[in-house]
Amino acid sequence: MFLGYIFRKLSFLGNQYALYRRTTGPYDRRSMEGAAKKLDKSLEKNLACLKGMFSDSCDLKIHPLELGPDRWPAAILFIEGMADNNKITEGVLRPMNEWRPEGTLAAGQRLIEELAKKVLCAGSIKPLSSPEEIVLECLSGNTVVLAEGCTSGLIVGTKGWEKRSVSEPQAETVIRGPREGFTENICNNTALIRRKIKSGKLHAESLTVGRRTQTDVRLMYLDDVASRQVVDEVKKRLSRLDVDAVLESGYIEEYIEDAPFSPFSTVGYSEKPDVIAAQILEGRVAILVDGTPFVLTAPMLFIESFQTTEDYYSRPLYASLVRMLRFAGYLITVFAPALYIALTSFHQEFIPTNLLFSIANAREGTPFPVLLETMGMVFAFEILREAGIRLPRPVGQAISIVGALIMGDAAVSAGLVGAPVVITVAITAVASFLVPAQNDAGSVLRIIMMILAAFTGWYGISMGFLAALIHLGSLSSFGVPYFDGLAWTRDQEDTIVRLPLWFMIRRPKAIPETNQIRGRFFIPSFRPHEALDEDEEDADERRGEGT
Amino acid sequence: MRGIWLKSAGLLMVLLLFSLLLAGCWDYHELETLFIVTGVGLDKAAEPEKMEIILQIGKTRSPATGSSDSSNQKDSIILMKAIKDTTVEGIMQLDQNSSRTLLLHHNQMMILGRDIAEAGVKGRIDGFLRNQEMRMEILVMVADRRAEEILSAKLEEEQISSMYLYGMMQDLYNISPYYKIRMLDFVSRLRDGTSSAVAPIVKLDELEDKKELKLEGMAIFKEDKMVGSLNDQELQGYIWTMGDVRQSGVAAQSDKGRAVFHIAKLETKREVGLKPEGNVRVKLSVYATLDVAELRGFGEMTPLELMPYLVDLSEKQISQQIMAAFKAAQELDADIYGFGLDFHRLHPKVWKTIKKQWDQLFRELELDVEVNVKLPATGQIAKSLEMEDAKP
Repeated sequence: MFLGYIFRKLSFLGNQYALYRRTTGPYDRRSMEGAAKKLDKSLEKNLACLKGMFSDSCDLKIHPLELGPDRWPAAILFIEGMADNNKITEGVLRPMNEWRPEGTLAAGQRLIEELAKKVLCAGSIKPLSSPEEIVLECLSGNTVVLAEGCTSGLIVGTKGWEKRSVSEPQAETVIRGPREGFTENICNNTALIRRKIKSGKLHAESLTVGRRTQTDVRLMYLDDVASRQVVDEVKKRLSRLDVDAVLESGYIEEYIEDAPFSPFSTVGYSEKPDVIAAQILEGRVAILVDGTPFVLTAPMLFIESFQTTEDYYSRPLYASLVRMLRFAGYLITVFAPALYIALTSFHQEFIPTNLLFSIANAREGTPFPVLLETMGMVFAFEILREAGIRLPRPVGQAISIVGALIMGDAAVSAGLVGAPVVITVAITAVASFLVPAQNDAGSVLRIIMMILAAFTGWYGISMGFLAALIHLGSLSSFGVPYFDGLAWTRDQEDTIVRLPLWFMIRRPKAIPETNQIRGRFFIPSFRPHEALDEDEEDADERRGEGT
Repeated sequence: MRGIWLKSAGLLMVLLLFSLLLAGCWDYHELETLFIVTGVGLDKAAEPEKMEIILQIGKTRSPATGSSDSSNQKDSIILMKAIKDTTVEGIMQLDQNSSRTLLLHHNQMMILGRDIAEAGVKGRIDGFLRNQEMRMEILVMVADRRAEEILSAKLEEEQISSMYLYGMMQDLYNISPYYKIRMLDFVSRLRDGTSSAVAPIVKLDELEDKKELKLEGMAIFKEDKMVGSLNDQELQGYIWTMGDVRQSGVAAQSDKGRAVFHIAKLETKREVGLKPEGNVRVKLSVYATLDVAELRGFGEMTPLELMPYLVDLSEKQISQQIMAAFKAAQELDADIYGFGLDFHRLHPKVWKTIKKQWDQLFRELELDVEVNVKLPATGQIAKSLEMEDAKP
């Protein structure tokens, strides 16, 4: 009945949307009501018009000026806090005040040209005559110079606002590897990626999303590596986006992902430039969103959640071991409570006799059925986790004490829950942190598995496992099979084990790209010394081809 | 159209989910609603056709209800007893009369009382074979007197006697797999017609301050009745005949002194053949690797003389013990070695003609034992202290 309700709701929403599209047509973000099409000759009129378009906001600063000995009226406009005061003083105000033009001032359009060429000093200066465009530029932190008798204004690049400096990301910490993380500033983030990949082929493309927020979104990909289809698909989905606001990349993710009802996410994200650079180098498309340090990547594969940057920075043997540990951890976090329920309430014969006795001793006298007991502890853990994240750090300490002492110890010694349940839930919780990217999907699956196990035991778990596998197999991300790499067909270099880097000659085939070869195969210790010369020749040849 | 399709898909999913609920739950048992049966004993009852079915149940104790319980160690097991015609009837009666469901999967062993073993077991263990909850892995043992006293014994080492016995048999299993008689081994011997089943005998020793369980030879079954037993020495001989001994010891006495050897490996090879005179001859080759574990005496011998002498001594001892066990089995007409099966395997056509008279043939069977001992090591010292003393 519930599902029926959801389906009905969805079809209703679909109809509404179609209706809306038919009546209003696609939204034109450039149309602003009551705005003039072009600037007027009169400075006063222009100022009034612009003021009106800013709805008389108090942070819009208008600074009147008088140019040259003729005291020709002019004005500059900027938004307080978004423009850099230093840049305005040094690049706009001071030159304009100190300007002593030879002879009389050129009137009209000539004045603007002269200002742009001779007076103002800033990185970017361009004339604009449309008030709407001027407003947009002003809103992104630039300064507008207007003068009496001119039908266009000058946009001076003075963007500059208080921003967080590059720091170590909180969510993705590493022992070995770069410690820098993205910030909320999209220009900065683009530069961070470009610093990793110094190639002209690294293509960056700018879009604006969000009717009201006008959020900058940038696509970055390697022109000669990323597949056309994927890039076009990403662009298509982004262009279809018609929303009010985009405050974080999560908004975009939800609008462009392939399987919105699946517990598994089909768009990857990271906070670290080296991760994103590696993704781009494998042929993925990075989607940067202004105002958030989280950068999206598409397409995403399931296996990506199990790969971390440190796998590639530490040596392959250990990396493979950790990789396997992560797979085991994920299986534990999804199946451990379900297995405990199934074993203790259906399949007592599976448990070794001594273990059965110790579990039975712990179960003796506990008041709740095992499903409720386990479910309760799992929920208690989720509550603790959520509380730990949201609370300010000093209070977080208290949470862990309450969690450890009251939830764990006291509940067991009061005979409310058995110690094995606490142990099972604890190992589930700890294992869930091994694969943070699949944490949310894991939580959902865990609860489903627990319910299945409580009703049908092992049979239910295996059915659930099968269903999850089928679902994973049916997913795709931007036209790429989501489960690829784990399907035991290709790209085995970097799944359960991580082979040495010099073994990974090709980019993963799962992600479609045009340029397959990543490097040359060689075994470090067996490399003959003579080969060095040959290599140089090769390099020369390659350079020759390049030019 | 689309709406109907969606609706029916939704309905289908809900129905599928309900079917999950229907399938489950029938064998749902919370642990605290179960009695974990650890041992089953069968004893002859006073009434002729009936028997006593004794269940040993490991008692679970909550750790949360305080430590006063743990000092009261008397009741770590529950013993349930029913007098019925068959095992299953007895178990059903006990199940119905208890507050919890009996969990038989974890049953460790079936202990046959001596009286019931001697009266014949074929009619008594059918339920064990039919019931899927009763695994074929459970151990079969014969109690020296009554099964009940073994199951009710409270030992110092382990509160649950059947767990203790299981551990003991597992320990012996590491010496040779032929010590451990599972239901499967027991029944397959009973079924094949010519071989005789064996089962270890367990005896309760009541000392002044404590009780002890120990292994007291092996019971020999003819058909399905216990007809006799092997003593400790004979049991060792029997185990050596079967081979696959991984670690054990052998002690040999001669007029020069006493030597104890550690058996590192002992393997056997059998050749079963029909002699022209019509009787069966088994050639048993024993290959043993020993090392010297302890010596007493042999003072007047030099190490060079000693080693061949010890090889000879151990060969004689092993051969003698094997023959002693064989004699005991032959006297009871019980083919505990499965020579009949070997014969069947080698000469299937001849076997058909002689199967009927196997008892007779086994009584006249000739066993040639050839022992090959390798004695590569003397332990950490070459000469014993006594040998050094003897030197002038």
